[in-house]
Amino acid sequence: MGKNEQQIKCVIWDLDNTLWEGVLSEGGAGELRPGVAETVRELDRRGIVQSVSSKNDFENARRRLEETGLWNYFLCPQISWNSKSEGIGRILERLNIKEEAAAFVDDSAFERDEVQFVLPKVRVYDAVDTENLPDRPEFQVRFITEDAARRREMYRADLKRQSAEEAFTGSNEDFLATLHMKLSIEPVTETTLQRVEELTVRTHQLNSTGYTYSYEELKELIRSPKHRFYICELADDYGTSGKVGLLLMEEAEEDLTIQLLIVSCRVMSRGIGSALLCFATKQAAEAGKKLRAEYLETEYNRIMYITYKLSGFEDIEEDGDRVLLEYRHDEPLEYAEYLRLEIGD
Amino acid sequence: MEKKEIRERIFRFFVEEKKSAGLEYDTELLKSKYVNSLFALQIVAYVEKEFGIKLKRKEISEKNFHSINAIADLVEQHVSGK
Repeated sequence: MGKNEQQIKCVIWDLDNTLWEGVLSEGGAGELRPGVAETVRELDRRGIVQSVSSKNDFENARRRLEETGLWNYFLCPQISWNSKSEGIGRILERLNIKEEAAAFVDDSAFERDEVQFVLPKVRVYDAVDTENLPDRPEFQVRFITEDAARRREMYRADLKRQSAEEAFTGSNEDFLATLHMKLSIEPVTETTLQRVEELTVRTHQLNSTGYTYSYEELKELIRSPKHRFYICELADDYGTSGKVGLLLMEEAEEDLTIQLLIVSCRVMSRGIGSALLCFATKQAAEAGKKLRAEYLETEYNRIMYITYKLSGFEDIEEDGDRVLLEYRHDEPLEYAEYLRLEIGD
Repeated sequence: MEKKEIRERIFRFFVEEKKSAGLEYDTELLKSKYVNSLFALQIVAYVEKEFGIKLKRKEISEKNFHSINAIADLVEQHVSGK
């Protein structure tokens, strides 16, 4: 999938003359514009999260949004007299969503230009396009997974967790210990396959190769005796984070090779990639095989290479953007103390 | 830039950003059983930005990042090589 076809994960709305008719601060906020409520609900149903970046008084705007029944659909709305681009920047930072995966809807060409100037990769839409947004290709999702249906609530829990972390005075590891995280790793089955596909399509930063597979190919991999294919789910005191990681290994006579290691960017700072790597080193040790890993450099995934390299892997073959690494420690890695593991068969 | 200064700047990063307590220049950073991806990226990104260098793939290794001293050596090679 090319960069410009990247799926939209987050839609950010202007308010005056976009979400509703008229200008609130001039006492003239009227009804919701045609198609707005339907579009907001449809995007939410697909697991596309939404927010607001608007120049308005926060309390007044909130009251009006509550009256319209849409307030709860918006995560960390940025309503102030600052620039729209600043609000959008803050939303994307807090949700850990890239510019490329964000859309902004505003009736004003001036505001759209301002956003486009500061955040050139954000896709901007005129308010008149509101009704048609869900029909556009960049807003399509192939399946509506259980994770998609819960996504807004999972992001909301993430925001709470973030605030708690900001208020916490110890180290990152100490904070993680307060969450009581539980990670369940289990083999991929047909029931989790749609989420597997979704993770391969949605994840760009924490994706070791960027390989994508068709639904049929994924099905084959489940049955393949030469592959070990796992998915993991994370939960903690704040609630579930859903199915957040994938590990695909190919088994040969003397080695196990990680072909895919993917972790949802929503849980980036919580040690899930490390836990999956640890799991892989233990599997290899039990099988008495070497553990190898393929890495294919993309525009976004250098973090995965660094993770491998600082976790005991060394390059053994290099061919342009493609690297084959091998785990070189004598002992398998150990799970972090802040994580409770459940391994399913 | 002298190694001493490089080392102190890296040390301050760990103390301020990572809230690391009881850290010394030769404390083994990677020995803590696991390396959180974000942590790994943060040190690499910090070093590149702070000292205006770009690390090659082979320079990102356990040997070069195992302690503040090791990171400072790596940075010094880059800075003095300019």
